[in-house]
Formats: sequence, structure tokens, C-alpha cells
Amino acid sequence: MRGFVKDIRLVIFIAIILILSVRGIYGNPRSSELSTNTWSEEGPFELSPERGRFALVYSLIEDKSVFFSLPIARFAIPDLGYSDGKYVSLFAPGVSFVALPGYLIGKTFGVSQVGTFLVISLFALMNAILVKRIASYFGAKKLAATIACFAFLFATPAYSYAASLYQHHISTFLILLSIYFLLKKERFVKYLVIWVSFGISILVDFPNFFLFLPIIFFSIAKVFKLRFLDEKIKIRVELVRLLSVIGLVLPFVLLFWFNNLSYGSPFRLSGTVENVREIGTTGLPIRQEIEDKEISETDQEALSFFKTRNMINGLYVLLLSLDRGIIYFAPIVLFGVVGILELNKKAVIKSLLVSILVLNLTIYALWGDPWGGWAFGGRYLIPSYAILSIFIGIAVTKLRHNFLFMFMLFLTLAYSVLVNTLGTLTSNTNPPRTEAEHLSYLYHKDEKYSYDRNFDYILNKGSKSFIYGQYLEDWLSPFEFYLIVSLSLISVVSASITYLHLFGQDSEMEIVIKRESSGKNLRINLGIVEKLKALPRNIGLW
Amino acid sequence: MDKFAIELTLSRVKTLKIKNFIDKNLGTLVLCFLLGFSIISFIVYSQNGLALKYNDARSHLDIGRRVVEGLKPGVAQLGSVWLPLPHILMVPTIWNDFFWHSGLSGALISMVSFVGTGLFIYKFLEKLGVGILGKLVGVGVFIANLNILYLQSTAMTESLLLLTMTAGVYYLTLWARDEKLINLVKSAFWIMISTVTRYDGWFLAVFASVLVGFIVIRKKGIKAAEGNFVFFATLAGFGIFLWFLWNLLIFKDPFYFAFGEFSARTQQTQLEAAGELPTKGNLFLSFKAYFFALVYNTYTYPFFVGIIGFLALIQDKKINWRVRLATLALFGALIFNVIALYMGHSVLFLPEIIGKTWFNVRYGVMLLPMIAISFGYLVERAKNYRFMILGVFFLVSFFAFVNQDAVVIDDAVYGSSQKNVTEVAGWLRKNVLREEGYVLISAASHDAIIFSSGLPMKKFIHEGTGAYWDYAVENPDKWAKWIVMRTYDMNDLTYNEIHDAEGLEKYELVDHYPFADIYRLKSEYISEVITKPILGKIK
Repeated sequence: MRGFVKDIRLVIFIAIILILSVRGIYGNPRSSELSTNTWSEEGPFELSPERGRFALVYSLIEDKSVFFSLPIARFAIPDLGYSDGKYVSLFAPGVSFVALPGYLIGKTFGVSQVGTFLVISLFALMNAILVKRIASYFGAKKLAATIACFAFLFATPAYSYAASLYQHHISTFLILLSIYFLLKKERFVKYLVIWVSFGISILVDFPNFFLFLPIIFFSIAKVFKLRFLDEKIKIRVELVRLLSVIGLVLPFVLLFWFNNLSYGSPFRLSGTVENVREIGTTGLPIRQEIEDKEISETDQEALSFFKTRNMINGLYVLLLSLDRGIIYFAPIVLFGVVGILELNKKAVIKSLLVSILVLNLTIYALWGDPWGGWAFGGRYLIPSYAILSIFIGIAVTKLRHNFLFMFMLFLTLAYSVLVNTLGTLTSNTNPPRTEAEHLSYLYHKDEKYSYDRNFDYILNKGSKSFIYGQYLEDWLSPFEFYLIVSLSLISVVSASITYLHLFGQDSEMEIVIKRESSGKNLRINLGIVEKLKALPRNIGLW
Repeated sequence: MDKFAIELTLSRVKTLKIKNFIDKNLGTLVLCFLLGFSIISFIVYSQNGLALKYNDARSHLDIGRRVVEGLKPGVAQLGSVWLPLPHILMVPTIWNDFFWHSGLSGALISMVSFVGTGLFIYKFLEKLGVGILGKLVGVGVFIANLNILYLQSTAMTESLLLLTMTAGVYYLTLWARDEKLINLVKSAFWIMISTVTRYDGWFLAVFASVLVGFIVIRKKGIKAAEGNFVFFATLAGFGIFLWFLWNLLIFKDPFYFAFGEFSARTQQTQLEAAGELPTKGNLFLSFKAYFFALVYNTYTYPFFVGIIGFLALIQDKKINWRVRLATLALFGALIFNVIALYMGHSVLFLPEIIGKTWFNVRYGVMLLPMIAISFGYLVERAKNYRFMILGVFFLVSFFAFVNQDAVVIDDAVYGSSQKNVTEVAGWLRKNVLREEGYVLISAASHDAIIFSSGLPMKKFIHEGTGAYWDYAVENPDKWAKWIVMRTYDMNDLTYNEIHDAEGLEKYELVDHYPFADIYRLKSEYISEVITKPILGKIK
């Protein structure tokens, strides 16, 4: 909270941009209205991830049940489960639980859907602040850390998923929060927060289990302390840190309770429930023989979805492809790689961050659907965008006087902001390339699959922004609105870059005392720089 | 917070003793581990029926068997299609029916090779100054791969090639480091062995000879380089010379293996005519095809980590530049395979990349020792990231094992490398085993049927049986009670030879199968057919 107060101007600016960007329609929709075009394809619930999670929010509050009524079930298709004759959610319930307060607050103002979506925007805002604070911990200058937080939130697909109801910002928040707490002093609460975050992350999205592994191993390693004495080795087991595992209890109890209610057993996961893709006029699911056979194989399918043979294609899709690749949607984060190379201190925490990055990339490269269905950019890599953005702060700090670097940074940042604002203000419904090509073949129509699709959207269909649709539509064209949002972001970023390049003087100096095999870093005030001249010759200065 | 803790104390002397014990016996432990994995894998793949799924595996076993049993046994049965060493090594065991039909005769060579390759990877890393963890990881990367575990459980030749190539490069790097002539001789010996195992070894012989010249030229000048090059090339290339000689003596043409009617080239020409050799003349596609074979065989992640490790190794100034140069020989297989694909001497199918099915995808396993060594080396070097590198490796390997992800097995079960001859072989076993008389069949086309039928080799008259074959294709009704062939397919040597023979009318078609038709001599002519090996007696 202190962080928020400290960065109040930044928080206000980001909040304004996010409020301008959040997708929505005025009103408290009833269950019968949700499946209409206004709310679904043409509205804020354009894809099944938003629909499935909102369906559970709606059902929990309006129907006081985890089971979907028939209109809600129809709304949740195709991610709809069927267990013991009742329709249930197929998603991990965490996002819906977290979004409940937003729905309730929004409902009192007549905007239940917008309120729900704003919960995710709030997490996005917190993520931006966490990126800034972690970058500062690594030695990024204040303005460089601000550029890092802007790069994450507005120059990557993270922006697009801050304006809708997806799990990614909550997952990223839990990861960043755990990292942030790892940097803090050794206290019981530090480890407790990490374990609670781990538990909640599984409640939010099951693959988070893998992304959290480096953090968890790091925390477990901290339980043991090794001391090498002359004749003895002492192993100290910190019981309090070990006890912090109880932080898992509450989230797991919640998960088991939900599973028990929804699927009849605390240990039955949503992935193993029968998937319903169509409901008949009688209200019963329409089954096909082939599908029934597939249902019995669901257990096996859960693991077989991660295949090493998918990996090369997954890496291509996530990194290089025109439909989802970082290189087209968020090239700014590549400057983070420079930061990783430039940072020569805090090696352990640095390696932890790199581990999460590599795991994130590996897990979703192994995943059978690296595209994330119809989506804008590589949505599965949002935690990686955050981590790479932290390192952008380092790179900018280290190379802020290098004109070429800063100029390239500005150009790439501006491009990335333009691309991602386009996605945020329009739609996430970009098909994977193969699907787009198939659709083009079927309907003899050019189906675009990259951000040029969003450009067409803003020119021809408009914007899905709630504020634009509700208050600005009569004053501005969608394209003008897009220009105002993106150019205001670029202005702030370019001002920061320029200021940092021209006036970002050193108030302190970093020296690296070189030994044969390792370096030791010291930060000293420039006031004593004169005294450095007296140092022995074998000490190198940077 | 500090109050709630348990403290354990270990004696440093004892822990040092344990460490010393591990240091001293790690090689033995690794050997036991490799042996365990090798034996378990063989049992698993034998019991689930996958061990002999490769058509080529059955052919290799049959070639070995024909040397010791059949109508015309002898070393000439080694033939010219494949290089002879794997079959020669089978001879001590292949005479035994169990060793032949279980495939153990060939698998045993693969298993020993697998264990040997693992040990050379371990030794390689040791010589590079890699610690315990790096060495174990290197061996672990090699073992934790279902493709290699499968290949070491079957009678294929890749395992043996990996051993000979890895050993050759290992001794080459030793020589590069200490310049002891004995290491150069050992290197040349192992490479010579590889040249009589698979043609990949030929390229390694040339590549390693050039590297030897290069290494010496920088330090001792052109004259010394010439001497070392000739010395090494002569020893390493001796196997190639012997193969030419063999072809000249047996088939009257030193290039018979390359241009003969059963050569790979002939097959490739047919594929090219059918438009199924797209890599020929296309360097990019050749590289792409082999690149995908590599990543599929190595589970992608180890491949990329291995490449990074290799780049780190090449740039490591602490390692003698001659050693670094010598390790380039580990890349020999990559260059060979790309060139072979480009020149149309090799064929590789990978669904969605080239062709509609799998074929020869196992070639991608050739770089596994290089990847394992580089991986282990990187784990040693990247101290801050070693747990990350290992963690992701465990995760990727976990998914690979859980999902039984092995392209080599897919090729054997669903790809073009398989041949399901159960029905036709089953018919022969049921109807021929207890009866007298011979089966006329082309071994080049139907070795899988010969093997799977379970009949003794001496029941078959094939193109390697000399006069039996010559007489039988002239007058089949006098020599063969049954004929197995693909009717109307001129590539089937039996049909090619007998389709216009008069005696063919005396046969009736008894069954028709996907890979072959079975003909039986009509009952009225059976009394005239020869059922005993009379030619040996006449001689």
C-alpha cells in the first residue's frame, strides 16, 4: 500500500488509461440477455474465457449456486461442464471468486459487467507498480523503473488482457508479489504470503503450479542453512519457515469445497468433467458417439496435452509468428534480455526470475495450443512480459547515456504501444493463422490473423471501450480515440526517455572490484569519487 | 524467529570420506546405472512387442543368421546392402534360435554400445574438467531419452555407430590435448570401426582426418600436418578400403554397394522418380528436415541447451584450442546427414515437414552424445542457472516419459519403417513349418516375412542361395513348394525372375496379403518337387 501512495501520480495516470480502456456496456445484464449478440460476440463477452468465468460470477451471486441455470449454461458454451445432471463451470474458479466484489460494486452503479472487468484492471495496475518496485530493487533508476512498468502494461498484450476478464493478470500478480516478498527481510509472513500466493495461483489457473515451482524451491531452500566450520558442517532447519506451508490450507480448502460442490468430489478437477458443446431444445446436452468415447479418455488427455513434439512449433508461435509472436506484438521486451546481460549483481534472485521466464516459455511451448485459442498476441507469456520488463529497467539505467540504445528503445516502445492499444480498444478475437487460412478458404474472404485485423476493426467496427461507447462516441471517431490514448502513452514514455537520456545524471557510482573469478559490487556516492584516484591500480572502475 | 530451529551437525571428515568414495566409484556407479537402464529397457520393449517393429531390425537379424544357417551359409551372406560389422558381431549368438527370434543377438550389441557410449560421455566430461553434477547430468541427458532407449533395445545399428563415433572423437580430443600418438591410433581405430558400421562413419573419417591436419598445421607446420594426416587417414580409412575390397571379391565390382541393384541409391532413384525425394538439390529443405529430426529426437529443450553449451565450450579459453577444435568432430553426423539428404543419398520423412508419414527419423539421434556432453558442460559452467537448466530438463523429460514421446517408435509402429507382415508370416508358420519343401522368396523384398514366420532359414530359397535360386527361378515347380511374392511388382525379384516361367502355372494362389501373395504348388505336381538340400551333396 505504501508503494501505491509513493507512486500516486503514476497510479492515477495508469488508472485513468485503464478506465478509458476497459471493455464493457452499461447495464446489469440478466441471464437471458447474456447470450445476445450485444453482450457476446459484439460486446464484452466475445470469447469463451470471459464468458465461462463471468457465468460463474453471475451464478454465484444471482442464483446462489455453482450450478448454471439453462440460460447461463447456454452462455458458457463451449467451455461448459456437465456433472451429475447439472451444468457446471469448466474453469478453475479463482478468477470468478476474486471478481465477485467487482460485480457487486458495479451492480450498485448499474454496471455489473464493467465492475467485474475492472477487478482485472486493478490487478494489472498492481502488477505495473510491482514491476517498478522490483526493477528498483535491482538498481533501476526511478524513471527507468517507470519506463519498465509502462513497457509491461501498455507495450505488451498484457494491456489487452487488463481490459477483460482473463486469469493472466491475477496469475502475474501472485508471481510478482511472491518475488517482491522474497526480496524482503526474513520474516514468517514473507513465507506465508508466498505459500498463500502459490495456493491461490492454482485456484486461478492450474498451469500456475509449474510457474511457481522456482519460487517454491527457492523458499524451501531457505528452510535449510548450511554452515561450514573447521571440522563440522552444521545444517540448520528453520521450523518457522517450514510452518509457513500452512498458507496453502485456505486456498486448497476453497478449491476442494468448490470441486466437491460442482463435480461431486473434492479431488475431481474441472478438466476431467464431461464437456458440453451443444444444448438441445429440451435443455439436455446433445452428445455425439465420438465425443462420448473421448470423454472416457479425458484423464489421459490432461497430461498428453504437454508434448515435447509441440515444443518447436510452440516456440515459433510464441516468439516469431505473425499471429502471436513476441517479435510482432511486444518487441520491447527483447530489451529486457539486454538488462539480463547487463545486470551483474543479485545473481540468485536474477536466476530465479530467469527460471520463471524459461519455465513460462517452456510450459506453453509444450502446450498443444500455444495460440491460446482466438486471442490477441501471446497471452500465456504475460508473466514473462512482466519479468522482462523488470530487466528493461536495468537496461535503461545502465545504457541511458547511449543515444542509439535509447533511440531504438523509444521507437520499439512507440511501436509496441501502438500495436497493443489497438488490441485493447478493439477485440481479442484474432484466430490462429491456420484457422484464419481455413476460414478464408471456406468463405472466400480474406481473414486476417495479426494486429492488422484490429486495425480493420477500429476503422470499420469501432471500439469496445466502455468509456468510449458510453460517453465519447458522439464526440470522437474510434480511430481518434485510439490516437488520443496511444499518443498520450507515447508522450509520457518519450518524455521519460528523453529526460533520462539528457538529465539522468549519476548521483552514485557503481564500482566492481574484480578478482580472478568473481566480482563484488559496491555503490558509492559520487562525492567520494575523488578519493577513488587513490585506490590501488589493480581495481577496475566502471 | 531464530528460536524455532533444529540444528544438525555432520562431521566434516565423514562427509569428505563420502565425497571421496563417490569420486572414486562414480564411474562404477554410472556403469551400473547404464546397465540397469539398458536391461530394463530391453525387457520392456521386448515384452510390449515393440523391439522388432523395425523392418530393418528383422533384416539385420536375418543377415546374421544366414551367415551360420541356411541353404548356403557363409561370410558371403553378409552381402553388400549394409556395412558388415553389426552382422559379424551377431555371429557368436545368432546360431541360437532364441537369440535370433527374440532379437537379443542384435540388441545385445546395441545394449553394450549404449552402455559404452554413456561411459564415453562421462569420460569426455571428466577430461573437460567437469564436476560430479555435470558428468551425471551429461549421462542423464543421454539416458533420459526414449528414442535412444528404444534403439538400444533393438537390432538396429545406430547404437553401435554412436559408440564408435563418440569413442573416436573422445580419443581425438585426448590426442589434441596431450599429443600422445597412442591416442591418435585409438581414435583412428574407433573411427575405422565406425566406417564398417554405417556410412556416417565414412564422413567422420574424412572430417576427423582434416581436423587432425588442421590441428597439427598450426603448431608444427605443413610437413608434420601432412604426415599426421596420412597416418590418421590410412588407419581410419582402412575399413573403407576393406569394404571396397569385399565388394570387388564377392560382387566383382568395388562400387557394388553404391550402385548395385540392392543399393540405397537404387531405392532413392525409385523414390525420386515417384517425386518423393524433395531434399535432393534443396539445401534449405535438407537442413530443415534434419533439424526437425534432431529436435524431435532430443525433445527440443536439451537440443537448444546443448547448442548453447557447445558454443560456451568452443569459447572457453581455459580449454586448449586444439581440444576445442577436435570436439567439432562431434558435429560430423549433422554435416553428413545434411549433405546426404541434399545429394539424394538419404531419405527422411517427417509428417507436416516432408512426406505424409515417418521414415528414417531416427537419424536425428546421431547428435545425442554431442548434446549430452555440451549439456553437462553447460551445467558445470552456468553455476547460477544450473538448477534452472536441470529443473526444466526434468519437467520436459517427465512429459516425454509420461506421454511415451518417441518419434523413433512412431516410425517403427506407424511410419514407413514398419511392415506388418503378421498375417502372411502367420500363414507360413501354420502351413509350412511341419511340411517338407522350400519356399521361394526374395530376401531383399521380404526379409521381414522370413524372420516373422519363425521358420528356419534353410526353408527358404532366396537370391543369396546361389545355385538353388538360379535353378528355382528357372523351374520353380521343381524346387519350391511355395512361392511368396508381390504379384505384378517387378521390384520383387522373385516375380521379376519367374513371371514368365512356364512352371508358374502349376501353382495356385492360396492367399493374398498387403505385402505379399502366397502360391502353393498344385497337389498333382508335389511328388516331383525337391524337398532336400541336394546341391551340397552333388558338389
